[in-house]
Amino acid sequence: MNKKLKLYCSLFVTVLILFMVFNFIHVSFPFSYCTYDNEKLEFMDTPGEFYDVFDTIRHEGGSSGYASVKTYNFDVDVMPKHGGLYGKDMALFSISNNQINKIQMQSVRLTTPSRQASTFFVILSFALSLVSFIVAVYIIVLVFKIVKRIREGEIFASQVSRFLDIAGKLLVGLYLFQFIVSFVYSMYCINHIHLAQYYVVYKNDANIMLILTGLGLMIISQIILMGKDLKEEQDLTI
Amino acid sequence: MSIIVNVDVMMAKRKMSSGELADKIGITQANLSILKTGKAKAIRFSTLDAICKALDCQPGDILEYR
Repeated sequence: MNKKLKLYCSLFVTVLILFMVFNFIHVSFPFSYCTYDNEKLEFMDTPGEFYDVFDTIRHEGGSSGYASVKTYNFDVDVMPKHGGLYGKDMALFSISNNQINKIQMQSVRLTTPSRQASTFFVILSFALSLVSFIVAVYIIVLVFKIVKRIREGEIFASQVSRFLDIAGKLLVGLYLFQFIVSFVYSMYCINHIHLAQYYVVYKNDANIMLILTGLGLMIISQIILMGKDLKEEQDLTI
Repeated sequence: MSIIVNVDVMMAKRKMSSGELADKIGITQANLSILKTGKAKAIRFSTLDAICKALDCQPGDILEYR
């Protein structure tokens, strides 16, 4: 077993174990809670910022109407400051048919009119989408190249191994990029997103399957390289 | 690799061409060339047997370790 194959196998097993451990423990890392005097949670009619007023073509008896403005969404994971798992203090409860349930939000989507949305968030989301798109397109190109070589009968070839290795590394790189962006996004949310009575917690949007698939492809590329060496030896056996 | 294949020496002694030898032992000229130039990774006993039979020699006449 060559060194690269050993390394990739070790990484794969490590990532898998960490994923299973973190899923089992369901670790959440709460950040500091900041209180702002003018921040409150209120149930009310949709305010004017979420609507644009437009005038329809005025026919006889025609009237103006409303259209929703473009909005931007912030998805954040939250943890209640009060009324936690073992807390006895005040919390939100739902009572119906003599059944009482504690309501605890864990994830919220905050919608804000686009014109109010932070440029930083918009750029971050755009950058993430653009990088993901470019990587996806390049991986599709690599897949086509690999299929073409296999059709020509070249399975155990250094080119096939190289393409698989590149695809694997791209997927791992994409996961790390998503991981970093998620972290920066979460850190930014602490200062700019406020939700009364709730902590903002770290949210990892990176898909674990990306890194596992990437490492899997890298392992397969090394196996194909070993196969290529065996094939060469077989070809040069007279 | 330290194993030298001296097939061409025996071929010269027996005055046999590459094509003729390749036909006799049942391999292609390309493979015979790989053998002669030392690029071969391994040789089957059946091939060695055929070469010795065709060139009327011992394995030690063809294979040398340096």
